[in-house]
Amino acid sequence: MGGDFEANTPEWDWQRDESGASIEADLVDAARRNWARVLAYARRHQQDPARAADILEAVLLSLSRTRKTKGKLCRPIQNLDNHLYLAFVRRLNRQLAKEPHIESVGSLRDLDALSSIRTTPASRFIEDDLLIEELMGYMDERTRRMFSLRHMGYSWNETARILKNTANNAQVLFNQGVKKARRHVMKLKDKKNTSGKGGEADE
Amino acid sequence: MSDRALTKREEARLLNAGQRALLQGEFPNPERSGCPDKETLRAIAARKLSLEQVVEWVDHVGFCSPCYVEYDALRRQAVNRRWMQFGAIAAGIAIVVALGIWGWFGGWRQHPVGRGGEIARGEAGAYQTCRLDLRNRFVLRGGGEESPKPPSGPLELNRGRLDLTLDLPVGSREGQYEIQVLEQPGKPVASVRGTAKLEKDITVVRAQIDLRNISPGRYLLGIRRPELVWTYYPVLLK
Repeated sequence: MGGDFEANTPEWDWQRDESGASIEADLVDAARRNWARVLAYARRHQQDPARAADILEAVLLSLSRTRKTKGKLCRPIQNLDNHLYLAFVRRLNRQLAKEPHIESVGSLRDLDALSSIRTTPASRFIEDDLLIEELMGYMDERTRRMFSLRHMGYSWNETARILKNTANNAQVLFNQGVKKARRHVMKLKDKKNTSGKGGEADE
Repeated sequence: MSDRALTKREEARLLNAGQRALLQGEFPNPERSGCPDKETLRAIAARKLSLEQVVEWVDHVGFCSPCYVEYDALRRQAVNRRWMQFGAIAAGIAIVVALGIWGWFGGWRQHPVGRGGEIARGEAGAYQTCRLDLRNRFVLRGGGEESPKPPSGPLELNRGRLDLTLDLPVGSREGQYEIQVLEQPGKPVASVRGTAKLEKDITVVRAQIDLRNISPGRYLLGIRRPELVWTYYPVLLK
C-alpha cells in the first residue's frame, strides 16, 4: 500500500494477501470508495492517515479471508460499503481502547483546568458519548439495525415488523444485543485498566 | 455490569446518546460515499417508503452523520407538518361541532343571515293554505276607537305567505271585502282585498296575505265590505 494519504485515495498496488491469495476486486473497490469516510473517522480520533490505511488494509484482508474460508456458509453481505466502514470503526475503536489515554496539555494551569472540568457532571455525558460510539461499533448487525431504526424514530412495532418478529421479542433481542456489546466494551476497558500503563497499540 | 434488561429510561438514554453522537458528526462522511439522495431521505422521513425499502438504507443512515443530520431535519419537518395537518383537521372538526351546537340551540334562527335564509325560503316557497271559519265566532262590531275584548279563544294564523280562505258568518253578502290584520283598531299591519262568493250556502272570501314580517303575538283580524263597519276577530299570530 502506498500513495499520498493526506489528500488522495491510497494506491493499493497489491491485490494479494500474505498467503498469496488474490483479494477480490469488489473489496478493493469498496475500500477505495470508503477511504475518505474512514480517514475522516480516524482523524476525528486524532489518528494519522497511515494508521487508517493500515487498519483498513487489515480489515480488507480479514474480510477476504473470512469470505474465502467460510464461503457460502456465511450470509452474503447486504451492504459492502457499510460493512467495511463499520468493521474499520470497530477495529480502530478496539485498538484505541487498548491504548493508554494520552492528553497533551500546554501548562500546569491547563492541567488543573482539565482536572476541574473532569469533576463536573457534564464530563459524564462526554464519557457516555465516547462509550456509546464504541458500543455502536460492537453491536451485531441485527442490534445495530434495531438501534438505527429506533433512533430514526421507528416504533418497536415497526422495528419488529422489519425483523419479522413481535415487538416484545424485538425488545428482548435488542436488550441482549446491547448487553453483549456492552460486555465486550467493558471487557476491553477492564483489560486496559489491568494492563497498567497501556500496551501494544496494534492487535 | 448487570445482566438485567434495559429499562425504558435507559433505552431512551442510549438512543439519545446515539443520536447525539451522530448529530455531533462522530461518523463523518465527507465525500458522502454510499449516501442516499435527498429525495430518498425525504421519503424515509415522511414515511413514504415501505419498511422493506427502508431497510436498504437504515444501516447507512444510522451510521453516517451527514445523512443523519439531514434525515433528522427532514423528519422534524415531516412531524411538524403532520401536527399542523392534525391541528387543522381538529380545528375544522371543532368549528363544525360548535356550529352544530349553536344551530341546534336556535342560534341560527336569530342570526340575520339565518333569518334571511328563512325569508328566502319563504319567498321561494308556495303560499300556505289557511282556512278560518268565522261563522260561529262571536263578533266584535264596529270597534271604532274602542278596544275590543275577545269573547272566545283567538283564531290562529301562521307567519308567512298565506292563501287565506275565510268562511264568513251566515248572511254575509257576496262581493268585495277588505281584510286587515291589526295591532289595534286603526293600526293595520297587513291589508288585502278579496272577493266573496257563495259556495254551498257559505259565503267564502279568498285573499293572499303576507304576514312574514310581522312579529308573533296577539292581533285582530278585521273584515268589512268597503265603506262599511269593521268586524274584528281576535287572532294569534304564530
